[in-house]
Amino acid sequence: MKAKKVLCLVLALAMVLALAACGEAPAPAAPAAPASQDAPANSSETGSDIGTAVSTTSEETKGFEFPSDLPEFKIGCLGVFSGSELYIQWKNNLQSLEEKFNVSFQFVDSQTPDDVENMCIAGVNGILMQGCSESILQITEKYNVPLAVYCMQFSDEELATFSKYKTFLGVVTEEDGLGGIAAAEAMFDAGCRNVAVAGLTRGIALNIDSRCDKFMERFTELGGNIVAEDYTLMAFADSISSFAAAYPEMDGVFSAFLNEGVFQAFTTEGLVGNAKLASFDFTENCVEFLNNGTMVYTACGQQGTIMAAFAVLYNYLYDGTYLISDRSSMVVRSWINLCNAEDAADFNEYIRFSTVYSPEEIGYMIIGFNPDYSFEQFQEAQTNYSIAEVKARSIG
Amino acid sequence: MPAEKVAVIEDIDELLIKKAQRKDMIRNVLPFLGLVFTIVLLTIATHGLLLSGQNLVNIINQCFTTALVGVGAAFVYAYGGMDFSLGPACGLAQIVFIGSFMRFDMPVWVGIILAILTCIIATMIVGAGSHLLHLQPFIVSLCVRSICTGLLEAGNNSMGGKIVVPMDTFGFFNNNLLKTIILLATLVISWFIFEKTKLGKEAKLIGGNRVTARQSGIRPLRVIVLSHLILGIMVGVAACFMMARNGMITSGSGGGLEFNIMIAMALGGFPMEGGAAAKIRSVIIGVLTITFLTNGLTIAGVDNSYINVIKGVLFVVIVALSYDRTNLKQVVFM
Repeated sequence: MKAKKVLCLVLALAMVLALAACGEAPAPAAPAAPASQDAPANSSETGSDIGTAVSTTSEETKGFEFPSDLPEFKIGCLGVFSGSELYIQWKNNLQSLEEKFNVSFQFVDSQTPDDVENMCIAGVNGILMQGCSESILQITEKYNVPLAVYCMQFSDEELATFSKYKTFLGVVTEEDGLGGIAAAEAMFDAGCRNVAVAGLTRGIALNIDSRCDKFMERFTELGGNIVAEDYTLMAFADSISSFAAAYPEMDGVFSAFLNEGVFQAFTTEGLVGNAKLASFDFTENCVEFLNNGTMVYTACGQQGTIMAAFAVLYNYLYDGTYLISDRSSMVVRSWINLCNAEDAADFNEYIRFSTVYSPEEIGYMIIGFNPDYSFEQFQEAQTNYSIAEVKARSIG
Repeated sequence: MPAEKVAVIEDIDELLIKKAQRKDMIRNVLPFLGLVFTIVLLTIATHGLLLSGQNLVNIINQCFTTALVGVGAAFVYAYGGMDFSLGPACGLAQIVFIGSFMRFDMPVWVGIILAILTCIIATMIVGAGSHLLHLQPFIVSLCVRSICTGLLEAGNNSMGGKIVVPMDTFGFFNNNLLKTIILLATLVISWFIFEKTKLGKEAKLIGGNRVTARQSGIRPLRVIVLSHLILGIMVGVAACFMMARNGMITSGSGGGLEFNIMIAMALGGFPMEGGAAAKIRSVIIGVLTITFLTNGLTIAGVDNSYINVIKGVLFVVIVALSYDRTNLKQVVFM
């Protein structure tokens, strides 16, 4: 028994020491963006084979070169960077910028005030975060660490408060309500009149709630009926099964986001061919469901949003200027709207596993590197984001 | 009895006493060594940043709510109870507080009282309910947890989903000096009540053996009610500070609090079954260990997922080495 205890303690110590040593190791250098479409996928420490990145170069960025001797910056990234291909892609996409921008990233899968404080003590020069609050900005202000926010919506009142803090650099996000409206229109156009809505537990994520609210508002406005709603934490499969059993007139389901349970429930409940599906995000099954006409809409394409937020942060770190001139308004990026198999194929090829922007394209957005660049151009780049736009920038 | 036989029995007694003393020493010293080891290791890993003045202030901030709730929970765990509803109760208290202020224009002090009352009601139902209905505390606390979660969601939805806390009014809750004073006062008062008064001693006696405690004239209901009252007050106070710390309230507010408390108590060597070995210092050591660990590993740049793995491994090791299995053995051999 004594020997077991000692062995147990020794093993634990070895593990703790090994992991602490890992923490001191420099961040692995990420490879530069691939030079061509045939280049291997941008790898990451996750080791996941997540496809081939498409290299992009717009006409205007041709000939752009990074200044030599860039200062070294350490950036803390708080949010979610594991658990889904989008999150892993976010991590990969940021790492694709490390070499050219001379930056290193520290990723934390959490975003509490404690995490922000710890990051500041760890000596990060700036923070990228998927959320924000006034109390967090009080912390960043105390340590004078700038913060840029991605993929999260805020009310006008919140933004007005945030913009009083000089360390708040702005928000780059998609507007979830717009996706909800597009989903409602796609479903109505596909002939759906009695639709059920499956969402996340209300009040956990305002942007997810907004998807459902705007969907229902628009669908009702068009003349359709919402036959049922269920907001049980991520139990979409159970919700859909219940809808199918209780509402035989149901001809469509709107799911606030996708997981495999949605597709399974559609298959097991015999809804394929009998009801339509509209949602957010993209998974492997979307191709099949878009092909067989069951899925009529999905909003996706957030892969590049974190890159745009990085541009906002780096711009400030480099010369102390704000890329987003009016920080009390969000910079809204367009969703990639997928309505058919052709869209899905293009999305799969050009965006799904793509960095979306090359380091040069992001560098072109930095006013310190490119004094002619303006906020209006930045805003336009976010609004114009679409499959066609990414295709036009793609090499090969 | 022959002298030789007496000597043998005395030898055996001595051996047993020594074994018990050694075990006690391990249980007392190991968590403390764990804390020291954690601090030393992480100080090296963070090149001294861990113990910088600024980070020590952060440590107080980061362990504040866990420490506050932890010392309250010590009373409940000491008599052998438990409460899984602390997180949702804490979230509900935040909604009640902010709702009273934003919806009904009540003064802040009324909100504080309402928040504390909310938590007292929740913890009282768990304590008194489990005792009076002769149910396991965890069953009752799961029911209360479900009720609090539902009310939290409903309250949250009725106020528009995400509630932004106005920092110009509630910012004083983030004052480090105020937090330090409250924390120190709480620790001193709790230590006194737990170690020096009848309530603390009776709670530990009930945790050690409820039948014996009852036969000694102790009224368990009184002890249980008072223990849960203390816990409720602590959770309510913690809810006020947590609300200002996060700057917003969602239906997930307070989530995971009960598990953080359990982990901290186990890491500090607090006997989960209660009894005489329960000490307030175990809670403090546990809370500090978990806070230093999370804080230091993040500063050192360790991936978040590994932080959870390390916490889990330490949890198992310390519990395996310090957990009192005496009662278990008695059950097995009976």
